[in-house]
Amino acid sequence: MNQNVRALVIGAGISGIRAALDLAEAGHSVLLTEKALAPGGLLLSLDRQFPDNHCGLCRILPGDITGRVWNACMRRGFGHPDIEYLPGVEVLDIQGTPGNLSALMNRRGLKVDPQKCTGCLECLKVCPVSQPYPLAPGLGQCKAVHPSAPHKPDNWLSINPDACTLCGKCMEVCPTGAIHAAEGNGPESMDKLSLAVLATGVEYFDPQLHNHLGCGHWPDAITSLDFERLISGVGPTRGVLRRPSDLGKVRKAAWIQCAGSRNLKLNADHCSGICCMIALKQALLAREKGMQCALFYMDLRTPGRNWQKYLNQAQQKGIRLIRCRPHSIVRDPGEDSLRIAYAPAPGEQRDENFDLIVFSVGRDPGYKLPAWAGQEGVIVTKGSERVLDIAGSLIAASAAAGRALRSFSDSCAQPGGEAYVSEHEHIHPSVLVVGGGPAGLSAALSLAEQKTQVVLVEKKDHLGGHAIKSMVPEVREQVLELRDKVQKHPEIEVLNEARLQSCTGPAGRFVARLLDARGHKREVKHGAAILACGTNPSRVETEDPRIINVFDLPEKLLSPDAPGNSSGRTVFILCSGTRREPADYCSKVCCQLALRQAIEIRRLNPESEVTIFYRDIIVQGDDEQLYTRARSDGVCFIPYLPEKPPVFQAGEKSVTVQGVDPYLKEDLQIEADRLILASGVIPESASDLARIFDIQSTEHGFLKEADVKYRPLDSVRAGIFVCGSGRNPVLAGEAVLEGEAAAQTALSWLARGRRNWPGSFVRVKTALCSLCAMCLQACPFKARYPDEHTGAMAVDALACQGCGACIAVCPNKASAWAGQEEEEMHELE
Amino acid sequence: MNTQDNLKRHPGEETGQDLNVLALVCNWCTYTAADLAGVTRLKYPTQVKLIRFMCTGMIDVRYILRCFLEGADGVFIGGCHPGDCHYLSGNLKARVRIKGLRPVLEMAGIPEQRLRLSWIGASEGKKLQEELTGFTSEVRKLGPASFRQMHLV
Repeated sequence: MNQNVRALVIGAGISGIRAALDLAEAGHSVLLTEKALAPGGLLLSLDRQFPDNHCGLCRILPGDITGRVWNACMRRGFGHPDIEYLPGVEVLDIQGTPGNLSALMNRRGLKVDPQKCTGCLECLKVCPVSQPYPLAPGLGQCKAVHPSAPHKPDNWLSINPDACTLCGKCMEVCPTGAIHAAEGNGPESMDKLSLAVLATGVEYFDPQLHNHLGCGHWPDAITSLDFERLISGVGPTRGVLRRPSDLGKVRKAAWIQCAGSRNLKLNADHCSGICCMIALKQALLAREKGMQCALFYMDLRTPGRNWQKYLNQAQQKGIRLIRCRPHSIVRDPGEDSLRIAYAPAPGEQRDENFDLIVFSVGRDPGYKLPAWAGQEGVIVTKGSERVLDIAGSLIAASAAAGRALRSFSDSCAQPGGEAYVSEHEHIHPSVLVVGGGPAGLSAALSLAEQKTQVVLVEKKDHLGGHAIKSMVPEVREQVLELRDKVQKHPEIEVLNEARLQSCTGPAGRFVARLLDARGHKREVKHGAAILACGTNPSRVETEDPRIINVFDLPEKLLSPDAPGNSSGRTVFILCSGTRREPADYCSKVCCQLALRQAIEIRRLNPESEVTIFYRDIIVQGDDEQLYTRARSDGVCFIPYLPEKPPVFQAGEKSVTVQGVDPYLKEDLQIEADRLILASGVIPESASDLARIFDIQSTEHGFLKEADVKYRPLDSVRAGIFVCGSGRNPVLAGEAVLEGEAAAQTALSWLARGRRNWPGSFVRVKTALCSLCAMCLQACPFKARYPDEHTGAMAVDALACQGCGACIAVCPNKASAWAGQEEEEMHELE
Repeated sequence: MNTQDNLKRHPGEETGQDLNVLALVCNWCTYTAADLAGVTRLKYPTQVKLIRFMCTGMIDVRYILRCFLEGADGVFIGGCHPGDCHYLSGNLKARVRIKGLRPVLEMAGIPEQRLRLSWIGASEGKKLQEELTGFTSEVRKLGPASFRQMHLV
């Protein structure tokens, strides 16, 4: 371990844990601080998470590091020998220079020793304090000492320092002496920190403070965060949905989207990005319990390949989606339920009663990073700037850890250099990056800056992908800068116009065969591969020059002789080829591109008319401002239903577009001079790559990750990583982030050789093996292979994850759990 | 100590508890759910003994048969929900295997109600309690297993 670099990670939510793990895997000592008393952050209060409605935090944690595979679930704790975890510590300030930062911290309150606490609850009987129970919002009171998190067996009581009066009664009654004042109570300074990663996450909007639609006044109108506890099987009502006001049964529930987001009155011109998914998830969970669910929304934002599927699922399960922003919530005298009044169309007034109303809250518009976040040497994860989903937080955290390490790669011996030249003879210390788009470029550069050899393979004759033609100057510049750095970097070998043919070999000893630009055969040995192939715009089949693909428009837009460029009419049709079979996914890039183009057209020709037909405008985060600007610039937006998409016909004088005005409920006909179709993107090369590298791909041809939430950039095969649009459509900026994160994940993998790797979980008795190859099929991780030397099926220790599937299928009992023979399995104690 | 001794020495024989129910559960989901059930102080029948496996996919049918042969009255198998397996498809493998085992059990005179496969996620402590309680009372209705009465093994 390199003691020279000591990193501080602030916040032990999912981002903080990931960043700390990445830094520790790179061989640094890490201090992980958490303001709360239990790690896990917001995630601990979520029982089930989209898009598969299961939990699964066990998947990110390095269970094998201690040799105790079972100790690797958030709910049962996490451990890493190089991470010092400090709960109940708040960081107040950071000062100094990179390499020598000092942090001012505040250790707070009393502490319960998890080793000594037996959970006898004697302390609860004597505690004089009564506070609102943080884990059961709006549903009763609790003492200052209370369970710290809903799912924490090892540390299950903790004391809220804000509520505790320090009376000391609990210390007297505790039979095991588990309660003691935290050491070094009060502010203290921590010096000689090399760097800090800020991973605190954002603050959520509190509708009560703003009296948003009467939230706070009605006890049955709660926030989405409160709802998570209400529906939890171990929550205050044991998973039975009850009204907080009178504990009456809930039969009908409504979700109201965009509380505190997309609201100019609150100065919240942003989209929080994941609230739509959260609401869909909650509605699905409530639906499982037989509830009637309605969702009031403006645009359902389900970008990417997984989320659209989730939306379809919600619709199939009978969740009502109502495109409308309710204007008031009232309770009629004598009624138990609340009444939502809304106007789905002009002049149409409706109201409906619901037992429970959930506000989908997002980032608080008033949320700001602490002042010291701008300090040099402090790296802020993306998840602390905006709300991200689990996969997004993990990607952002890994990218932040990578940035932190790169800023130190010159000044310290590790990481990189000798560090990553593995002592494990079986891992080759180099990485093959496939694809030269923004994701591939940033992955290659991150790796190279951490002194790892990279071979970058690109199909085309130039690097940069589609992003070098981007409409956004900042993106263009960023990608061009990346490209220049990659081309000049001595550790990176770029192979343009190369064709990959095969990749063979066990994990860590891959051999890729390819044809280079001159058609020569070439072999590349590599220890890890990052598949960063992108997508291509799907083609718009037309000869008519007036009908243009949204991706071709930027060039045509600027040419003065473009048809309709004067004071003509431009019509956009969004989702013209996607979000329905056979391409039932959202391409994510088209909406913001169309908005930028619409704004640009109006700017060039204020006389021109621009109409956009859309299903949902899917822009997230601050890109929402594009939508606001387009509307205020006079772009006309007309929503359409997927059953009734607008149709167009190219006439002599103009292109006729026919649609339906949903508000007037009348047919609509526009004679357009120019029709722009957003037909989405398709992952053309992803399925080929999946075949070459023997990993899975989705039905639409995207590369499939090992786990959609917790291992977004790993593939099922050890040592092969996926990122960029070929995995899931992303914007260029996100692709850069994914590339950096994938590089970091790959480096952790390469560094495995340096650690004392515990070896395979499965032992093969070679004499008993009959080479029937049942294990080959059973292994989900492709860790079994025929070994020429022993004449038996062997286990690739680096790929084996210890599920035991091969043990169960082996007819000769040749495969056995390492250290546990068949007979022992039958003699369980 | 082998399973047989373990079962013979079961406190049920002293306290009048009547059944031996073995629950073979997956480490990641159902065992965590059992942890959670413990933390939230949910009670499930004392007749149930949990045996932890890394994955339901590694539960060989021989283990299940052995359980019955050595005197279990019911065998409960708990794994992750489909699509949520830590090892991708172990639970599906278990499902196929158990489907194949059921007719064999019938032939051996073990009613299939004595074997239950259930998906219980890590956050579903409550469901674990319900499933185990339900399964135990179902097994109780069937009475002690014939293998156990015959003292075959």
